[in-house]
Parts: sequence; C-alpha cells; structure tokens
Amino acid sequence: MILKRLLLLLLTFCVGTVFAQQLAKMQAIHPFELSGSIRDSLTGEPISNAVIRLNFDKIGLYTDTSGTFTVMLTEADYVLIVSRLGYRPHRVKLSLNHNIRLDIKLMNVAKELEEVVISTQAVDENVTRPLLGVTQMNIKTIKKLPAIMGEVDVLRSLQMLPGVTSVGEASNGVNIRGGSVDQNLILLDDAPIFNPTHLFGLFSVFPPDAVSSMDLYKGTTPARFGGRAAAVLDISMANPSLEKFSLQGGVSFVANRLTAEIPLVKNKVGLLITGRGAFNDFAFQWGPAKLKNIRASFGDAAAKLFWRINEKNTFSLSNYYSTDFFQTDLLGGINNINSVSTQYDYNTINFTARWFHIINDRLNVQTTGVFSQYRPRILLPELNSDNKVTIGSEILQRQVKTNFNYIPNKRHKVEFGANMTHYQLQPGTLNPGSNQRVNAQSVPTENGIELALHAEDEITLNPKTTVSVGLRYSYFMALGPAAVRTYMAGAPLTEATVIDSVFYGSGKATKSYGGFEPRLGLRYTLNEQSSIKFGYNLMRQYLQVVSNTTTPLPTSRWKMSDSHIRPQVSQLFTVGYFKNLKSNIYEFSLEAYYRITENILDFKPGADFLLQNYIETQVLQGKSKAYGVEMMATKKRGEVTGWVNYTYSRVLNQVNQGTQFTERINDGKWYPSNFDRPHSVNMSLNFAENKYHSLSLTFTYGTGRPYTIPNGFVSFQGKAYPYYAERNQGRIKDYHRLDFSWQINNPSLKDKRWVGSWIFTVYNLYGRKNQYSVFLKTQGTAYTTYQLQIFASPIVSLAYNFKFM
Amino acid sequence: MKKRLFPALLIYLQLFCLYSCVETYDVTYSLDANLLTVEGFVSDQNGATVSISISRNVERNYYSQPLKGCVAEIRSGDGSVVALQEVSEGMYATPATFQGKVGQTYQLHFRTPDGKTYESSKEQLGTVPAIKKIYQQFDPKGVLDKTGKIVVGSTVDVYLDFDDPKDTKNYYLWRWKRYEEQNVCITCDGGTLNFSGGTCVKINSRNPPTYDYQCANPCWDVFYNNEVNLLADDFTNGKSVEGRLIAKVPFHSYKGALLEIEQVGLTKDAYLYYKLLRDQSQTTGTLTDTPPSPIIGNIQNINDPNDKVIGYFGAASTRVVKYWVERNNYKDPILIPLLGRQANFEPITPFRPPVYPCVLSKFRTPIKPQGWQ
Repeated sequence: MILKRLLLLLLTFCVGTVFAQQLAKMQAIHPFELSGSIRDSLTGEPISNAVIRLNFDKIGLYTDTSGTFTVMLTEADYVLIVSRLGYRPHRVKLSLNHNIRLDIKLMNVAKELEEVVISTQAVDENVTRPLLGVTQMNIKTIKKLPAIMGEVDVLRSLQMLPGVTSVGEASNGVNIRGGSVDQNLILLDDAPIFNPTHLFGLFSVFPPDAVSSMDLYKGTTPARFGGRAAAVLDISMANPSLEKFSLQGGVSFVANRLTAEIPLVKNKVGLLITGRGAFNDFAFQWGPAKLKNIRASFGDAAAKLFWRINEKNTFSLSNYYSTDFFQTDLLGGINNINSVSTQYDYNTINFTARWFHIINDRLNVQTTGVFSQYRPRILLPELNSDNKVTIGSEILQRQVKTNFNYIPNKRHKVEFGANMTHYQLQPGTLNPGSNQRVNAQSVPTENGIELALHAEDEITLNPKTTVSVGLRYSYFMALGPAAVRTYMAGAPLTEATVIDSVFYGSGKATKSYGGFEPRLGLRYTLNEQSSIKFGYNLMRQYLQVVSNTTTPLPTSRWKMSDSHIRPQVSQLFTVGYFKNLKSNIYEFSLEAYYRITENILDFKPGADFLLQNYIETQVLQGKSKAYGVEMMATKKRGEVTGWVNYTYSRVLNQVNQGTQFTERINDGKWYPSNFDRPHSVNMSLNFAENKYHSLSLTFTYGTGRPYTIPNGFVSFQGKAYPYYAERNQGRIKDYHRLDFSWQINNPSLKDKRWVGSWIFTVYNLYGRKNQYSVFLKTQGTAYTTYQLQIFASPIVSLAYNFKFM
Repeated sequence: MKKRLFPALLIYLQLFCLYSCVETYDVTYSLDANLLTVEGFVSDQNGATVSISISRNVERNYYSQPLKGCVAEIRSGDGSVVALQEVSEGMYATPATFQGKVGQTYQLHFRTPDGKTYESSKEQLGTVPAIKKIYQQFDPKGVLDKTGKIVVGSTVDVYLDFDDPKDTKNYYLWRWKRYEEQNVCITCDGGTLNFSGGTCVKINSRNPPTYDYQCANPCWDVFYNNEVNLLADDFTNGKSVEGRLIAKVPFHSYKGALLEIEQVGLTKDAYLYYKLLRDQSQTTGTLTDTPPSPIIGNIQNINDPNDKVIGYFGAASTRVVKYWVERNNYKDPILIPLLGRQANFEPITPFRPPVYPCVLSKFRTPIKPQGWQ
C-alpha cells in the first residue's frame, strides 16, 4: 500500500514537475493574465474543447464550454496556436507585458471550398451516385503536386491515384486497372489523343493552363463513351471568360507557357489561346560527347472559341496542336539505310466543334463534330547528303455525335444519342527521297467505320437505391479497298499457309463486328455517410496499337480490326464501399474489381511491324485478366489536405492460339503482363498555412515490373546467347520516390493585377536510384547484367508562373 | 550569361543522368536449362556439317557438351537420303561427294542415343548473288573500351558491294574467318616451359614470371566473326547494295591478315531466326528494345511439341571470297598486340628457351592458308 502510494507520488512528480516548476517560476516573477474567447467565424457559437498551445509546447489547455480560457504567464513574447478538429488553426504572436484578452474566430473547414478535389467519387454526389470508379481531379490539385522539372503533368498526377500505374518513368501512357496504354480513351475536348506524351513519355501533352477538369472513368463508364476497352480519361478545356481579359503564363527550365482569355464580344464571344514550347537543345550541346547530337524540342498549342448565341444555344470550336522532335545518334540506321542519326518527328492536329442547344427545361442536346489527325515520322538523314529517308504513318479520325440529356422528373436522368466515326489509317510509307538505293514502299491504307447508339437512365428507385442502366450498341466495318488473305484452316497464319487472297473494292465491307455493351451501376445507401455500389461494364475496342516494345513508341503501329484481327472485348465487375466522415472532410473508399479481356494482341517471337502488309502473320490474340483491391482515404479540407491509397492488383495474360510453339506464349500458361505490379502505395500531403505559400510532399511506391530473365545460355560461333524460356518471370527492384514542392504565391503580398508565383520542386528528394530496366549483354562467352536508371538523383527545379487579370 | 548558365547546367546534369545511368547489376540467375542445340547448313559449295550438342546450365555456369552417337540423315526433296557420319564428337557431316543443289529442299532428321527423334522443317536452297567488290578503310578509333568512350586501338574496316537480284526476295548473312600470323605458341603462366615434355612447369616463387614461347614452325591463329551480320532486301529489292560493313580487323601488327568472307543466302525463316538470335544480344535497356524471346528455330521433336530445340538447320547458297587485309600504309595507328599485351619471351641462355609446336585446332593451324601473302 505504501509502495503504491509512493509510486503514484513519483509518477505525479515526474509528469507535473516541468510544467509546475515553470509555472511557479513565472508566477513568482511577474504574472500577467492571458485570456480569450474562441468562436465559430460564421455562427458565432463558442467553441469548447479547443486546444490552446503556447510556444509549440506539447502541453496545452482547453477552452471551457463557453469557449473561453485563462492563463497566468510571465512577461515574454509568445506564439499562441488555437486549434480544434474541423477548424482551420489560428496562430498569433504576442508580447505579454499587460493583461491580454483575445477574441478569436476560427473558420469551419467544412464550409470552406475543398482544397483537394480528387476523389474516387464524384465530389458533391459522392455517396449518392451509382457510378463506381469515377475520379475527378481538379487542375488546381494537379498544379499543387510536385512536378518534374516544374512541368505540371496530368498523366504523372494520375499515377498518384489507386489503380493507375505505368511501366516506369518515361512510359508512353498509363495503365488503368490492368489495361494496356492503348486501351484508354483519352479525350481532350472530345477529340482523341493517340499519343499522350512528349519526348517519349517525359511530359504529358495536355496544356495545363487550358485544362479545366479531368474525369477518369476506370469503373462504370457512361454509355456515351466507347471504342476502348479499359478506361476513359475525359479532359475538358476551359471555356474562355466572356467578360474579362486575362493572361497567364510561366517559365520553367523546360518550357515556356502563355495563355490568354480574350472576350471578343462582351458576354457573347470569347477566345482562349494557349501555347507551350520547349526548345532547350542547347543544353545537349554542352553535354558530354555522347549527347552532342541529341536534339529535343516539343510544343503544344490550343485555342477555344466560345460563342454564347443566346440563352438556349452555345457554340464552341476548339483546336489542339502538338508537335515533337527528337534526334539521336543511331549507327547503321534501319535495315540497309545508312544514316548519320535517327530523327523522330510527330504531331497531332485536332478540331472539335460543339453546339449545345436547350430545347426546354428538361431536354437539351449537344452535337459534336471531331477531326483528329496524328502523324508520326522517322527521318533518317544520310551521310554526306541533304537527303532524308522518311518512314511515316498517319491516323485520321473523323467523328460526328449527338447526345440528348432528358430529365423528365426527379427520379430519372436520361441520356441517349448516336455516334459515327470514320477511321483512316496509313500504316506506313517509306519515302527514299533522292536515295537511289532504297525503294519507295507503302502499306495499303486501312479504312473503317464505327457506328454506335447509346441510352442510359439513372433511376432513383427509392431514397436508398439508385441504379444506372445503360446500353450501347456498337457496329464496326472494316472497309476496302483491301486484299484479304485466306489461310489454311487450323494452321498458324504465316506466309507459308496463305491459300488465297480476295480483293475488296473501295467502300466494300471486308469484315464487320458488333454487339451490345451493357453498362450497369447500382448504389445502395447504408446511412447518410456511407453507401455500397456495384458496377458492370462491357466495352469493345476496334482500333489498337500493335507493339513489341515494353511501352508503345510514338511511332508504334495502330491497327484496326479486320478479317483476322478480332476486336478486344472487356468486361469489368466492380464493387465498392464509400464513407464520408466529419462533415465530408474525410472520405474513405474501398473498391474491388475483376476484369477479363478477350482478344488482346501480343506479338510472335521476332515479330516485325515496320511496313508489314499482313499484321496477322506477326501477332497472336489471347486473354487478359486483371483484379485488384483499392483503398483510399482523402482529407479534403483544412490546413493539411491530401490522400493516401493502397492498391493490390494483378494483371495476367494468356496466349494459346494453337499447339505449336509459335502460336503460344509461355506454353499457353497465364503469365504476368508487362505492367503487373501487385502492390502500390501513393501518398500526397499539402500544407497550406495561408494562401501565400504551401508545401507539398508526394510519395509513391510500387512493386517492380516484370521482365524476362534467362534460364540458360547457349554458345554459338564463340559467342554466348541467353536463352529465355518464359516471358516476364523476373522483377526489377521495387520503385519508390518522394517529391517535394514549395509554392510561393504573390510574394509581394499586394493586391495587384499582376500576380506572380514561384514553385520550387525537388523530384526524387532522397535520390532513390530506381531501376528503369534490367538488361543483359554478352561479350564473347561472358555475360553481364546491367541496370538502366533514369532520374536517379534529386532533380531540383524552379518555375515562375504569373497571372494578369 | 550567369543567369542562363545556371538552368542550362542543371538540365545538363539531369540529362546526363537521364541517358547514362547504366551500371552493372549484380543478380544471380538460377540457370537450369539443358538445351538440345543443333546448328548446320546444306550449302551449294560443299556439303553439310551439323553440330549436335547439349547446352548445360548449372547455377551461374554454362557449357556445351557434344552429343555423341546420334543417327542423322539429310532427306532431299527428290526422295534421296544421305546419311551423316560423325566426324568428330557431336559433329556430323555428309560424305565428300554430297553437294547441295539450288532449288532443292533439304530436311535434317536425327535420332538421339536416348531414342528421341527430331526433324527440321524443309528448307529450300535459294540463290545468292556474287560479291562485286571488297574494299577497306582505316578507322583510327576502331576499338573502344567497355565504357565506349576510350579508344583502345585502330582497325581496318572491310566493306563489300553486291547487286541484289530484282525478281526474288533475298536474305543475307555474312560470316568470316580471319588468319593472323602468330609466333607465340604457348604462354606459361607462373612458370617455364619444360624442355623435353613440352609442358609448363610451375616455379615456386613469390613473383613467378609469365613467359611466352615461340612456335616451332610457322603458325596462324584463326578468328571467326561472332556478331550476327544480317540483311533483308525488304527496302532495297533489286538495288545495288554498297558499303556493307563486314569486319573490323584490329590493328594487331603492320603485317597483313587474310580474310575469308562468306556471303550466305538464307531463306526467310532462317533469316528470322538469326534476327531473333541477334536481337537477344543487342539490347540496350531502353523501351525500344524488343523483349526477349526463346531462340527456337525449325527443329522439332516429332513426338513432343513441348520439347524445345535451339538452333536452325538451313539450306543456303554461299559465295566465298578471300581478301587480303593490308595494314602497312596507315598513319599513326594504335596497335593492339595479338596477345592483348607485349610478348614476354624467356631470356636467352644456353639451350634455352625451347620452342613449342603449332598444334592444329579450330583456332590455330600450321598449314599455310591458301591466299596467304
């Protein structure tokens, strides 16, 4: 008993000693009274249990039920911090040389605008809409994330979301829920983007100052979208202001940007123009000899004309242009074309015209016309000559679509429409220029038409249940002129098994495919804060990339479905649980999915697609299955905002077209795809003490992607050659990286028309040497394994942005 | 200027890293494949030699074990069958009277001692045009070190021209053999050459010498190309091909060397196999690399499609030309001694040093090669 008391005394002494001693000392010297009342800034209600801390001490005091506090302190300078969950903290510095009474109003975070506009659910309707796997990411959020070399990047930011990965740095696109890069429909103002990156994947092509919003559909895809098997990334360009002229721009190490919004006719017609260019070749010239002949430049520009015709009609015309040029040393050239270097040159030109018409309060219609052209070229400048041998290809897509929105009553939201797309593919031409030793070549142009009808209804069955029922019917015709081969039945498709070739005239359908694409969503509300959702999706893809590289190159070949290449069909099942906490400050989601895709394209060993007339002899078709669980928690408001997510996912492929070795991959067994990365963690934190500066940290971790390891070596003519029995059986090292950025807005703190901001970024803060690839080289009979690391040290950059209103 | 220099410098550093952070990676593969490896050609110049071996892989090591005692034959399209003789361990050859004919198909068929039967696809012997011209060019910076930055030696590069025929699809492979005069016939590492027995005897010393010994008779070392040099006429059909690089001959001495160049006309399938083989060893780690594939050719176990065989049995028309590589007319070449270092002969004392015979092997010959100047 005595011992117990003694211990208690000791404990009390230990805990209280510092605080008590200090307090006693203070009071003994010259105490003043510091008191205050803490209230809600809007309601004026007193806030009880708010924490008052002095000089960042761990120990503090609480306000009472009337929201007041009192403390006696010695004369000194103090920093006082008042905080309360759900409120933005308040900081004040004071010199206590007399009794002070403070009157502090705290701002309720729940009533603030959301800082982080990113969620696995649509923001305001999070728990109530039946859609699953829809992520909206606000461009403001994207701009706050640390960007490599100061270039705000839409695709890199997307990779901070669960279910979105890539094969590594500098990959030409992203993989969404186990889909390949070309299975994503990327739309910029409704026009398709065939190559989403600049400089082989270093930067994405979307002009950040012109993008207003970005919707990623990786789960339930609305019936109005189709043509790709995995996901839809719908990016909208901002409408120009019809009232006020404004200018914004920026300078970074890589590129310079300028965007102007010009009201041409006040309240009627406005124009938005944006441009970005990077012409930093000079840096290479100063580099080591190895880089001397590298030239790299890129640019993109967009314009949008918006015309508010009257209350019921608006019209907009947008244009997008993107260009890239990259030159590298390459000895020998392609086949027997001897060139001094290899140049890649590719550009995109898109136009979108859109007419929006309100028929009545309940019905409106939007009609859109799209023209999209993508032209990649490889140029081979010849030795001692001005001549360049050119290998080029082209995709031309023209599309007309119309979409009705009809809201008959509170219980129904109906959307229906039709869509027609014409594709024209020039798969490859070789132009020798003045070179007499090379023949001009041309692969026949492919033509195709895709027609689609769609209808969708979002029905509120009862206050707890909402369903979204959508149906799309798509029909595709591969059109002549084309020569279609017939191969021996049951035999592999090779040059040796051709038995006949039939020619189809211009406009004649050589093959057609079609089918229904149901889209289903169901939401069931458990209570005001939480809901569960189910989703099912079927999508068909008639245009795809055939590539035998880890990530498709900008010059990779696109291929339409035809008599031998069947369209890809993907089915996705999703289920999710969603919960909002603390007046929507926090959001939590848990989603699981399973996806099966038929007719994925893979390449035969040794396949070559360049200027190949008959792609069917080079590829195999198989199955892919992907499944995963995604967890995400987001804090959307307050001084500290951000999110953290974890994903477990697998992507496995199976190619088993026949019994022969050349018709299977890995003996027809399931094997991990190039982007099968089971574990992934992303974290993003933003500290914004006030509107003048903010700090951001992002962390990302992912399992290393698979690569092919040798099972043995054979010796041939005195040289070792690795023998690879099966594809993708090894893994590169796990990837992780921490980035940091510090944004200082308006450093002069004055309200002027010109507002500048600085962004200081460190990419890969702790200099992790992430493996980009692992490869093997043999020298004589010996072999060595190498690793290629890019961005392997911290990359520091500074960018300046401005706004003129 | 300073203002511009700073960002430029940063980009420079970044790009430097971006493109050149290639390091060796210490990874241990568990090599366990035991692979039947078959290689051979029926040629219109001489008959066929087929090598049958097993590539064994144990942990980190691999070696090739000749497969003795196979029963092998070549079946022609005209129905005739030629049995192959095992001329040395794992090497099977046609009789001297046998010669491939243009237009004929050939198929390899063999049974291993453990009773498995294998067959190649039928390969048709095509034609190959003659070599029109062979010429050489001096490259003072021809050999670089492993990093690819430091010049180690000069080379004489040999090129050839030929006319591709217009009416056929043609696929080319080039091989060469090179003869270099060699006067060192043995090196005794840490010892001296025993006078009578012709063997090296170790010397017990902290720093034993390494001595080279001269050849007893004239001797030539034989080198073979080990890069797969291929061309398809896809883009150049019917054109004359000029300046095809065939060999980079290192500057071993000012004396000449004899190069035996073979221009081989392949079938498309054989070409694709060699291309696959070449692609396996020429990866650079960038995303433009084609992911590796098993190097399986046209030979199959007739009873078990899952039994994988490495290698290719082809039929090929060949043209062989001997070319004398002149090395004495060039200015300031950087020499690379044949041994990779200067020869270190044992000092002359009474009765010493002894000499060592030039022993005939795949890589050495005492017989003066035809065309040696």
